[in-house]
Amino acid sequence: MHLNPYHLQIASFALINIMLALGVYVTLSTGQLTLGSAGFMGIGAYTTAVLTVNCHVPVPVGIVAGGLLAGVAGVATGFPALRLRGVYLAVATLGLGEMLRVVFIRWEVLTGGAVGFTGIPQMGRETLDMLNTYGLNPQGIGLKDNEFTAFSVFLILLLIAILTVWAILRQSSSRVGRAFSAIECDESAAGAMGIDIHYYKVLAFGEGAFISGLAGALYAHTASYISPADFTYHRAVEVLAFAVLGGIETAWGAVIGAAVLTVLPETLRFISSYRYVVYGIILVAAMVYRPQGLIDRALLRRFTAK
Amino acid sequence: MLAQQLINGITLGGIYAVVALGYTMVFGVLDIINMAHGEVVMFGAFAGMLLASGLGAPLWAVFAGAVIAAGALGYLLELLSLRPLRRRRVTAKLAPLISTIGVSILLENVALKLFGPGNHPFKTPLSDMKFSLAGVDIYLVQMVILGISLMLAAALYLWLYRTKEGLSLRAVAEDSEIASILGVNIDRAITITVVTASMAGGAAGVLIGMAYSNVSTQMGVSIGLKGLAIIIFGGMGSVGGAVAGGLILGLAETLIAAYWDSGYRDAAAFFIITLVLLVRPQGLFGRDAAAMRH
Amino acid sequence: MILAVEDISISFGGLSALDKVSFTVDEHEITGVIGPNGAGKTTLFNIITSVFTPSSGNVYLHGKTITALKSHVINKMGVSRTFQNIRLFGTMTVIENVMAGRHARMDSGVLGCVFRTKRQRSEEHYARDKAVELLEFVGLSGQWDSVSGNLSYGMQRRLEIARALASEPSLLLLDEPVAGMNDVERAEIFGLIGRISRTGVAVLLIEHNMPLVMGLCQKIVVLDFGKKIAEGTPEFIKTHPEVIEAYLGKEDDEGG
Repeated sequence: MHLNPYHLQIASFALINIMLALGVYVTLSTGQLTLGSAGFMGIGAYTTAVLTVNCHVPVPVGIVAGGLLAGVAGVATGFPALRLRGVYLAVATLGLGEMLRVVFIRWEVLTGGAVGFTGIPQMGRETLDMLNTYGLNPQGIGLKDNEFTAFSVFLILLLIAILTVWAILRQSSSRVGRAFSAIECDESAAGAMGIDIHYYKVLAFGEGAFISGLAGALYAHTASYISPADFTYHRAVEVLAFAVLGGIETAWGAVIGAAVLTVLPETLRFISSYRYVVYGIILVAAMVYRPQGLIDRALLRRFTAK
Repeated sequence: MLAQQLINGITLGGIYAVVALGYTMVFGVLDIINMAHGEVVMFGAFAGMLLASGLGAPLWAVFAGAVIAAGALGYLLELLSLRPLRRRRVTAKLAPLISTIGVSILLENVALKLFGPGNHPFKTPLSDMKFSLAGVDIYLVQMVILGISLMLAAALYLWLYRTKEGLSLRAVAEDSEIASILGVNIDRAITITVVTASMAGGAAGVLIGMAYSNVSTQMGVSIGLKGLAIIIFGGMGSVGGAVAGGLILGLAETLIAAYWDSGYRDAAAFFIITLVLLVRPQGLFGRDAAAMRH
Repeated sequence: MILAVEDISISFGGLSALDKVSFTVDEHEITGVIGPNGAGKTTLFNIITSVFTPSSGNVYLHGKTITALKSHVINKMGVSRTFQNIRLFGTMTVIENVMAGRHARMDSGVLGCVFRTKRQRSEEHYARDKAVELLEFVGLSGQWDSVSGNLSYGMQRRLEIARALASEPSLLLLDEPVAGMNDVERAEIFGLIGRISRTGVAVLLIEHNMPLVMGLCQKIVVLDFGKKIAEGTPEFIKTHPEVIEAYLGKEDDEGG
């Protein structure tokens, strides 16, 4: 058996990006555009970094705690966000994200400041160590140590990404999901139809932040090094590009958009150094030619009908 | 010491006001936040830098070059990212926002490829000239910056409110359908708005270069955020609000850096955004809450 | 008496839109609110469903005040509505629209929806059956999975009524349900409103063309420039001097 750790790493980052895009998608599915997703991602990443390194908490606990804390921050943002619409909300969340980044830089005791946070336990190595303590060895299945670590990181991320997509899809085809899209279509009509607009908008903010935080925590345990540069406005725009290219009508849009835009620059090397230029063009072109994104509900229906 | 800081703050604030005017004009007429305005300012600054540091051009030529470059960029922005949305009748409320975000990261990274990373020195003949007044050092540059920003603000105001051109722009801002029935050419009005706002941005870019003595490709994001903070603070679409907001932010940043911690200087803008949106979402000088229902 | 509106006043930008308007709606009846365009009819609906809060006055449902409660709470208490300019959830399918309208009569939360508990599944199943039943009731059979935004105008009106009925209201507010329809379509919708009324739902409907609703309503409230000028049976309204005055000459241009 032979695995290319480099390819696995790209696939792993694609999965993290899918999670991030899903976080933006969930909030956007109630019509709320957030440019603060990088900030929530950072909360998740730093939370688990501090918990696992400074407090020696097990990695899975740290990851869940990171997601939850980001979710709490999302709910806390969701309430004031109720007063804002459209561009105002976008700009406010942009400001929030940048403010969080300043906090990551300045709160040096906890975060390591601008230099970053190193030595975060890597999920793959942790899995390998665990196997070794049970006397197991990846060579038994013909894998080198580095192949095994990359592969196990990929599998863990794949599992969590699948679970996230599964949960979001189930939610969208039920009472909560109908409330989300009703609010996105027409807020006051939704209210007149018995939907508690405030509750569902805050819920969407919390869920989106939770998923972003979870993705951030997973990123920390994949890269094992984080710094405020990982959680900038550009990161938020990049994630928005994933969701918008793929389409914001269904969760599949975020999945496809993030996968395509992560893998494309890696396969087409010459694009790689121009990736942000490409993202920019994609955002403009998508808005002009296909504002609903690559995957829309009509397309999905055509697939499911067959 | 305080007098020195106040002068520095007002100078900075004057620049911010000009940046914010660019946002407020476009928002006033098109009801769109041009997320690429910060990058237009950045390109203006680089055009000025090439002329000033590279060719040693005189100050008027530096401004002219920057204004022309930024205006041309504004024209392209309208032509490639805003007009097609109107042509294809894209109704998604967030489409122009996302489309101009696209232009902003495109421009930033094109600039990175063209000019390279890091700070590029911005030298003008005035750079080191200063005089002392009652024990306070005043750089000639500061006087030029302040004078030009106030002139620009006044000129834009007069143009918008005292000329026929300005009247038709405001008619479009009020109701583009009725304006079009009344014979206003909407595309032309919008193009003029975006180009003029961008030209002001180009001038602001030179002012920033003069104030900091260097420019970088990343300045667009931070200056853009500040411009956004100011128009939210001052009220979207309000010229007076943009000027007042610019001066307040400039002073706040300078005082924070001088008396507290320079690391938090850039957070002042975000803090202001958050605070204003929570307490008074329509901004200090905003017309009314109905303005934010868009 | 199911609904009582008491001394409602509201003004916008100094202009009075409604001035001390009072009237009642009885159970099992169809009540019409008529008046020229701009008389304040839709504003009245928006106050009853709490889109606006009146500057004075109260709205009572079954004798309890509902003034300024949240819209969704009022819906749950049994008031549902349609809109003058149809406001469907345009990207959702026909059946999803109706199921969304049933929101207040369902209670699964996030966990129930994600883990598809037994309770959630039976609730969802029941909601779907109910929605199908309602769609057949309003005459929209077999188009359940089309996107609602793609329906014809008349079908959209019917769908909006089905969506409003999904919350099992005791009071249904219809805002110009036959606007822009021809005689045949109008007769069909009036037939539908009659059937709704016979199921025990009180109906309050807005129409600016008075003769149209005379035969349909048991009671009529006439508004003009934000003031109630008459309330009573159609026969009483027909002969009311102020009503005749308000309507003289207006039927020519609004007779369509």
